[in-house]
Amino acid sequence: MVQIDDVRAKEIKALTRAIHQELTSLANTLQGRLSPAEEDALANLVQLQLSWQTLFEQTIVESTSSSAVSSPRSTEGGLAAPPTSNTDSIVYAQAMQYARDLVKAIRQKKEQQRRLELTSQQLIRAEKLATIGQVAAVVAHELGNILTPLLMYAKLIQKETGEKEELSEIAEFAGQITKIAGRASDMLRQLVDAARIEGAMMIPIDVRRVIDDALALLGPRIERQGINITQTYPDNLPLILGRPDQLEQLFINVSLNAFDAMPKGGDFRVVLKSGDGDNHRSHEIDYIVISLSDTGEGISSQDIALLFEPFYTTKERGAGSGLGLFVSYLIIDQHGGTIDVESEPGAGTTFIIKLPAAATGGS
Amino acid sequence: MTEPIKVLIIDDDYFVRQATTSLLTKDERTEVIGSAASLSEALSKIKEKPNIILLDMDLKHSRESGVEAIDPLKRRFPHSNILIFSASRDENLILKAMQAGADGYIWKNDAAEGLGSAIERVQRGNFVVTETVARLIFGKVSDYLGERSAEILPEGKRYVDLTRRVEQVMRLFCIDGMSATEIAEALHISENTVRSHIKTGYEVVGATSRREAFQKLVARSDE
Repeated sequence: MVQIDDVRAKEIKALTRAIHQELTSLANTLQGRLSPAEEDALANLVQLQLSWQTLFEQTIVESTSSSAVSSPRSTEGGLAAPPTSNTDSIVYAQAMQYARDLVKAIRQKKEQQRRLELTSQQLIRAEKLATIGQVAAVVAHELGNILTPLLMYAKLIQKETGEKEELSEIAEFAGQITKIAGRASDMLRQLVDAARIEGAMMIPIDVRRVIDDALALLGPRIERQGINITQTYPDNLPLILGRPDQLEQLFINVSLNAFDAMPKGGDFRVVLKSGDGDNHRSHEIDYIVISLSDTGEGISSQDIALLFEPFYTTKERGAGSGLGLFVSYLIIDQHGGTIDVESEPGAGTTFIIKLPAAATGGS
Repeated sequence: MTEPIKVLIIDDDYFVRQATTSLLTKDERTEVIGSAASLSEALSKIKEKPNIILLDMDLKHSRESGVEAIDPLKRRFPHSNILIFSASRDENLILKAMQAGADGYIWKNDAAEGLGSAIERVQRGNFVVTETVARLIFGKVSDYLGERSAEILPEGKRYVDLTRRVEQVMRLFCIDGMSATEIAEALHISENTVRSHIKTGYEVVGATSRREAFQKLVARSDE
């Protein structure tokens, strides 16, 4: 907000007021049709916009009056001009900060809304799993320091005995230790990666590419088991903010779960949609919906209740870690998404994953 | 035979220090010149100059965290490379360490298998990072390439492909330490194309050398 001439100042004033009017009339139109939480969110938004407008008008008054005194070049600058003087910089920084706060507030509202959309049962589950995830992450970290020397010594024994014929049995035992400790290490990796809580770095991702990559990695298994894959992708799909390695892990885990349910082959369908077509779109979260369906044996309703719990598995001991869907759950939660399961015993299972779309434009 | 690489181990866990010392002593590529439980112990005890400092990130019972230890270590041993050796897989932490001047990172649980070769690669001037960090760093290349790659592109092919190619070449070049000739062979493209991709990559991040390109990518990855 540097040098703003009177004409420009009037334009901006008119514009902010117009936005305010639009927002108010939107609030009025939607009144009575929203949940209390949604109304709350909208009211807050109106309030925020009003504060923004006030700040803006103050800024314009200050900068036009000061520029009239201090500088004759007031017609040159526009809104986007970089700050030149010290005071300008401060005002500019304040305004930018305010814009950032606004974006942040809207994001928080969206997150709150997502939470409210979960049923209370889902919420209890969410809290419980999140807590387990946090504990698991700490334990996994500490166990890393124990597993590391263990693996190193097993490796050393293997190395020292491997060349001598008479010690080959010992080498083999050490090899077994490496293998078993390696499994523990793999579990720790999954847990540590999925349960990393705050501030994980997210980059814009095309989910189509991640799913293709995951299915490519599973190629040999798909072929061996005679699974028929159909992919239905829309031409335009918003990007999401995420961590590619984690999302790949997610799709691998859910797909493997589906493949396990179809030991004699079957159909695996991947359908992607963008989920912004709902009625009240103005403040609906934009998200993408990924459904993954199999034609396997299905899951009974009491098993569905326990599906995402860690170490819960219906597979034989040693066949599954019991972490796949738990880790998937943590990954989805960290991406601000949700997962649902629909299943009909004997007919198949569908996992429905919703992930919020990345904000478009320059935020 | 070449001289073994001299390694200093800094880790607060006694068993980790012992096991790592044994492992690296038995490995003919490396030699352990000392180990310490903290930065202050390392600075007061170690006289010989290490080639590689193996540094834990999670130093309990000491004033400095692993990240904070990097700068004093760099000042004391300016010619040593620092390889982070951590039970953490937090990429924020790894990037912070790289920004502070670390030359690589290895997850502790992978160390029994890969420590010797990780040390060897860092000593050769390569950077060792995890897949996630590599993706995060190189994800940024596409952001910086943006419209630019469309401009330098012949005959209007989709620029996305080129962006990916430049990324791929830069990764092989900076992280895997491959030469232009090796990359050309691996990707079945001409050496000239590889060189021009590297040039584009350099231009985009504003670097003139492999090390500089890597450091700039790391430095920018928190923007």
